[in-house]
Amino acid sequence: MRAYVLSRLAQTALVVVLSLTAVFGMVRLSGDPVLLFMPMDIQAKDVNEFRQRLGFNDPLAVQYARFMGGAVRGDFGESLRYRSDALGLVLERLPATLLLGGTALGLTLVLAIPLGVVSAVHRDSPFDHAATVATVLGQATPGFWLGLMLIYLFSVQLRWLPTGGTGTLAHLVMPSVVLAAFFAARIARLTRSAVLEVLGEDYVLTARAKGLAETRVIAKHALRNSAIPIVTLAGLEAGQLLGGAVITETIFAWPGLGRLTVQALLNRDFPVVLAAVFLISVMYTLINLAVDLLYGWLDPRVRLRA
Amino acid sequence: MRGLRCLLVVPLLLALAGAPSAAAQDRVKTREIVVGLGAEPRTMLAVTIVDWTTNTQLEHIYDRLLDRDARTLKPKPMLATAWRVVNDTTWEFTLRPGVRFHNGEPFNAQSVKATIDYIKDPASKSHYAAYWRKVKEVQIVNDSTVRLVTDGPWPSLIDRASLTDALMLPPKALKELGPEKLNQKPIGTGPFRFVEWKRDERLVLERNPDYWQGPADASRVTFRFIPEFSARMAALLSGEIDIMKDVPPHALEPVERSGRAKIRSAVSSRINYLALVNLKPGPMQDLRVRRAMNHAVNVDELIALVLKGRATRICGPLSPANVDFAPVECYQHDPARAQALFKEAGLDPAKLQLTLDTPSGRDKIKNRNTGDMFFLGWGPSVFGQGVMEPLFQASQTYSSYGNNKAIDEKIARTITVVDARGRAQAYAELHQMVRDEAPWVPLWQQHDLYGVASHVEWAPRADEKVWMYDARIIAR
Amino acid sequence: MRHLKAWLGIGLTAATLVAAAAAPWLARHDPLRADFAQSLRPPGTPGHVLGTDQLGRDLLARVLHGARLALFIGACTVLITAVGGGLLGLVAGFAERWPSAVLMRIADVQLSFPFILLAMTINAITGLGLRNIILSLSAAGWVVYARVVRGEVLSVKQRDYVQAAAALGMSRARVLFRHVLPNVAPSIVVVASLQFSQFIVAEAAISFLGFGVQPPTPAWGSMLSESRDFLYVAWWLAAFPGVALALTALGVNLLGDWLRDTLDPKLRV
Repeated sequence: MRAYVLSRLAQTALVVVLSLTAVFGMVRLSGDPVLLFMPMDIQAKDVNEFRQRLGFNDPLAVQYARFMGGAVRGDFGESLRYRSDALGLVLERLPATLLLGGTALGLTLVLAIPLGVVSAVHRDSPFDHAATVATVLGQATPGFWLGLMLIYLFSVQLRWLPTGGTGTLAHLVMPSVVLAAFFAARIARLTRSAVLEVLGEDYVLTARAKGLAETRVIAKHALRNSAIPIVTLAGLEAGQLLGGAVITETIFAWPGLGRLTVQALLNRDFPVVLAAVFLISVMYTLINLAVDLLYGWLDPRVRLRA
Repeated sequence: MRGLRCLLVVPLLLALAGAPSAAAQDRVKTREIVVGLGAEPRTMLAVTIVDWTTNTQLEHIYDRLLDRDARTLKPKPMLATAWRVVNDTTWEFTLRPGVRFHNGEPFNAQSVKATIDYIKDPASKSHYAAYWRKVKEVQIVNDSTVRLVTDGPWPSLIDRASLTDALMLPPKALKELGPEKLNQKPIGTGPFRFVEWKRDERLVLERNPDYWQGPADASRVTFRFIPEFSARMAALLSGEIDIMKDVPPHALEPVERSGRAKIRSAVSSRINYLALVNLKPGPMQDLRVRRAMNHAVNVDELIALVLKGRATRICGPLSPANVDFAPVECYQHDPARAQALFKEAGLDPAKLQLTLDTPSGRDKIKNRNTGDMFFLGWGPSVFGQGVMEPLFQASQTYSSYGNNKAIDEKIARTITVVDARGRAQAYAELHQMVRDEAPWVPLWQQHDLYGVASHVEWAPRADEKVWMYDARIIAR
Repeated sequence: MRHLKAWLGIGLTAATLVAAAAAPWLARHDPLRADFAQSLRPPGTPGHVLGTDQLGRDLLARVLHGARLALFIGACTVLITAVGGGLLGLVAGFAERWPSAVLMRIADVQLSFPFILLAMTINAITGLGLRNIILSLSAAGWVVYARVVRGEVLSVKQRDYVQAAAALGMSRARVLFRHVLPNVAPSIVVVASLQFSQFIVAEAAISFLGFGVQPPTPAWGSMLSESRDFLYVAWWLAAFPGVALALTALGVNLLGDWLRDTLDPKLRV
């Protein structure tokens, strides 16, 4: 078990190094961001001086070595736009993203799993059909459009909720609903099919035959055994929530990691982009590791090997 | 299922809890103003980054040597009470006595020297270093007198001194705390003191009760950063913010109709123009084609239909708000004349294909790989050098036109004329030369439109400063 | 219910295809032609069924041409990723040893980064525009095919007839194309259909954020992005392109579900 975790952590490190290298390579191939941050009425020779100072004139290998050396120490350089530590800027936004992502994940699980279970148990009932329609629609509706429509309805027309920003719980409502909607739909569908599958298994039939109450059958046998595919997907989705957060945070001006990344990309503020890539890939691989460990706990048949 | 129902109730409760209009009334009582801006400041360190949004917020914390009149944009006293030209290369400023920084440190000649030295120090990596390059030395005559010595005649020094290029830093704090600490907690002499900056969310300032011009009416000013226009507008209409920048012309009616806010506008000194690129081979190298373009574009119609009249046409390179402005004759909209000029230049206007780039490609402008034309807004430009030099010389980063010896020489001479009458005369001649060369289709000064809550009284300015010292809160 | 969903999927997809193909005939206006005198007209205006945008361009024409663009991008991306990813998967599955290991490590790296963020980053860095969005989506999307196909190959390879063919001295390439390819084809078709709508939505999201197809080209994502400035005065600009996008995604999703149920019920993507 320990060996497994260690080897997975080593893999994580490798993945992080490779993705940083890939992004570094692309960034340096794409030209010169310095100009974006210089005042407009500046002379060309001053721009060159600036570029020199920032080290953009050094050979690529030197830049790469300096970059990787810094990255190991958590030093991604100074944001070109904000003139402060890039990783610091990124870490500063992490709590907001975790709050949003956590709320959305909680909302997803609380809504989607009961929905899926009830749908499966009452298969082909009107509830099941309604739920199917809802989940199919939920999966097809793009999050950013849903966000736009919610803003139109609740902020522009009804003026109930703020369009964006943070501060009160009211600010959290629309972003977390939008972020949760898509995943809730997927997880509800998956829960339904996983529970349906399990409900047909022998041990459930046996449990029923033993005269166990239906709720107990579902809670004890069906749910526990259908948990593995659900956890797998939820784990994958938890990572994808980071991707969803990019869009949701931008629409609702939520001061998190995703919005910062989008802005840094728009501004070609590459130290910040690289720091964000670093943090996102670390988080992503760690989430996947956590999901794998959860498997072992849920299903003793799964043995983890390095 | 009960859990589900609870979940549905929660958002409704939250919605009620967040009912926003009460907040606006509270702010009237506590005399607080919330301003919605499209972007956040890039730093809290003065004289480091050239960026409008950053500076308009920093100016509330830091004062400049000179101010500008809100209407005429002419320099006027601020931290310096008077200035005089000692000789062609020496300017002397008399400083206001009794002014203190927010940390109690006195403002004096040391501050001026420390500020300019900080800017010129390569370690500061200040964008302003290039602007102050001509200043060789800052001489402290006594506590309240300081001399700036330049390496040649430089009349625009006075203009730089009245802009955010000279926000005065506290010398002792700068030395003891260092720039990094000042970035976290800026210390100036301005009308407001720093409270907190939550990145991507808000900058909070409080009134400086000891401000040398007298305390501001607002006890607290919060800048909130709301990038999306619709979101800013919703925030204004629901009472979350009191002042919003940049209401687009099509949205004026909903604001006026809301009863919660009114529209205030100012004709900005920012100019918008269509550059006719002569720095690369193409039809735009022909003067006749550039003139034809000037006759072909119907600027008045564009203003009336697209901007709903919320812009003022310009005909020359500077806006009338610029201190060095001189009037020139407009090119009249005349399609027939344009056609004739195209034909004279050997081009068939029916077959002519030109490429127009929009300003999202600033890199393109610098790298000189735009199409035959590009559209750019420049400003807020308040003095002539800041337009003529960067935009009409081939060596400059953002120019589209150049390699005209006569104009190059004229610019070089004009920007060194120190005496006021001679300067006006030189700029008038330069205006005419530029107009005849038709390097652009000059388009318009935009009108800056602001939404202002009904309980706030505030007027926007031509230099685009969102200056909350002038704002008044009126109880209804 | 199942049949209903299948028919709905086929119907919606067909409708989108027809709308895209017949765009110039269904909407008489040029989607790029501005007419300032007719700006921001509401739906139902004579001559402009869905109204006009801020520049007076006909919204119906823009939405229909948007369908063309969306389907084009979706189709190109699916084609590139299916062929490219599929081939890589075939090779990885057959070669085993190091090509397989290398390929799967690369896939891991890719999967350690949210799909949309990856595509967006590539775009932001390499430049914006139609060609680049197709390439960046492809670069971010090939992994699924490679994995699915590799898995299939590994299992097909164990089967007797393939082993037999190899034992009889059939060349590797021949085994690959005669025996393996026909077996993995259904999986590829199913994955492609499921990926198709993901690509369309991702393209819209990326264009929405400003990293994709650039105005004035009528792409649903950038239309929705522009519509944000007009929420107060023109709801239709935000509503119709979004409805079109959602219906297209819905149709293709349902079609994909149906294909999976019929062709390859065990596949999980």
